[in-house]
Amino acid sequence: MAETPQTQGARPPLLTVDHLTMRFGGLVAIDDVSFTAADRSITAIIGPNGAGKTTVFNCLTGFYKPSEGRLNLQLGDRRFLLERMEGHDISAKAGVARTFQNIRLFQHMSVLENLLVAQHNQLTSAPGNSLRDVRDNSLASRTGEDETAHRGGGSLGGTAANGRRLVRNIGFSMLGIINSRSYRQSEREAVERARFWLDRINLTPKADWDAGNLPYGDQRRLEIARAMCTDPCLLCLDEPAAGLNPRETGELNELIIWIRDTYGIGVLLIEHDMSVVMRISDHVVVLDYGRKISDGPPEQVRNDPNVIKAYLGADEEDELPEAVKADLPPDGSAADEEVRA
Amino acid sequence: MEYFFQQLINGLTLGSIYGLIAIGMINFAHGDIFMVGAFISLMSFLVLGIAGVTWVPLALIIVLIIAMVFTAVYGWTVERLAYRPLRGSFRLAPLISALGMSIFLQNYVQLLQGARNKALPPVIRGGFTLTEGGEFDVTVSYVQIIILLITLVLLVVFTLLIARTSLGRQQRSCEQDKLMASLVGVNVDRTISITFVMGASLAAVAGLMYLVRYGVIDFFEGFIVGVKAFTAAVLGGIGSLPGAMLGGLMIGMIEAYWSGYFPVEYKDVAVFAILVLVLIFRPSGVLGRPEIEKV
Repeated sequence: MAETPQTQGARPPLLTVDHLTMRFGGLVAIDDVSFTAADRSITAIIGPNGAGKTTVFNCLTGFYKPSEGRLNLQLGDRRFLLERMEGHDISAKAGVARTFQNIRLFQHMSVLENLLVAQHNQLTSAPGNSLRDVRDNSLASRTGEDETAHRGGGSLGGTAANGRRLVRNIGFSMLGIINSRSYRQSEREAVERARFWLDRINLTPKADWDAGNLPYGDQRRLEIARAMCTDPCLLCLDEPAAGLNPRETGELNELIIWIRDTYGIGVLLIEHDMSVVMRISDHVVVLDYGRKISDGPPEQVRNDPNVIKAYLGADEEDELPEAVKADLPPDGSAADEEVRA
Repeated sequence: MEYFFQQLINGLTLGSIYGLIAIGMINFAHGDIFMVGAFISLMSFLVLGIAGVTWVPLALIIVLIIAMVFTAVYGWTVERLAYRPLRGSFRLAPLISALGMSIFLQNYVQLLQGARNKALPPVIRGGFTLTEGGEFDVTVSYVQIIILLITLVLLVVFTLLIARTSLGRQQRSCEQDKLMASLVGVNVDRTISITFVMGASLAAVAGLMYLVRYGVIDFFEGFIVGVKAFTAAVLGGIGSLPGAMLGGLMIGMIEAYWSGYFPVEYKDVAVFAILVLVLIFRPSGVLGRPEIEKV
């Protein structure tokens, strides 16, 4: 399997999708797909409509429980099996954030509040316990430094811990009512970070608008900013360029690259717009009818005959150049024909 | 004229109680949670009486705390049994299970407490006389003042909590899009549990105030009060706390004035007739957000 240039030696990749299969009754939406995504890199998942790209995201973020396979997220020396976790833990503990093809903002909340609600976990957790701290610690431990702070891993947080968190949560809200100093402090930090993102995506003048009233392009950027406010380690973007004009698409490319370089997180990207995919991704995975047909750096994938075939729909082997025909797996085209019939 | 003022005061008091229930109105068993709260208050008063706590302010505070805590447990349990298992089910399912919960609570209290009215001797006596010498003395009792004050305080506290705090943001995000809320790390189950606990505590306060003001409670009282509070929430605009309060006050007023000037048996007809009119001419309620669909 092609590795991204960023994956170095023994360090395991951020995300390892291992033999993922998702069946809906008789329909196999994803069939034995394996790939990896590294941090500090952009991994694009492309494929024709109905190839199962969004289904992969839905498995990653807990909407679907995969029929088979493993979704392994490695944060430093801590490992999360995403397929076993509850939805909110996937965001709060494992640090996976996502956006949607059809935008899902909290439409009746203000732009600012959309960014604040995403920071809820940093707000209520005790200092030194936020996701970012833990991640920084685990990053530190990668480079050999001492790490002592451990949080309950995976979904194994005990009942006692849950109870404590509940009490802290309620207690925190009470502090909110009386507007205590510690509450104001953390609230101020949240607002600061929200303001930073508002500036970054040029929405500061519209901070008090209802999110649902924003123009389409603004909503797209706000959704990405909100995902970033959850302090993710893996950012999953589902067709972020859909419906954007060329100028907005250019800005989006810049934003995604900036996020990768500034935060050093992994970005998973579903995209149809090849100008986006080829320009910004470090690694491309191609799905077709639920199976992986290609995987590698953009230049390699672009010239892969399987990909060309899937995209151009060349069913007849005769139409393919000789060199391509030789590359085809012996059973690949036959199976394709079957599904298409 | 004096009579008019007296009914204004009575209407405001009754309306505050409806408003308080409407603020916490999250399900159709809410009226019965209110009734449970009133019964718990009644029992606490009796126990305190036996224990010899007779200083009224202290007794009131103790009863308030006991009622809020125990009723909150009921609220939490209702959510756990009748709502959480049905989350993600079709939309009518939780509605029906809440109605079931309502019937269960009524019968449960009827079995344990009997079907008769339970009465509480007046706890707080006295009040101010505002006008004298006319055809009618206008009075405000201490109870009414306390009710209005507590309602005002709770309304402010809850409005701030929903609008300003992190918990409030979580609650609003869950209300709008549960799935998305969980994706930004909000624990939806826990947030909804907290919401039920808060709503039940408010219902307990309302139950206590109702008991102290009217001095009698029975197992069926919660149903009709619950329906009125629901009407108040719809009247004011679902999802708006000041709207729920305003709706409660409107219903209290309509009831008080109707009972004052027209046949008292028809006061509920008057209330629901106004509801019908509002729904025809302003379907999103008085303070509600009109739904404009963006295409």
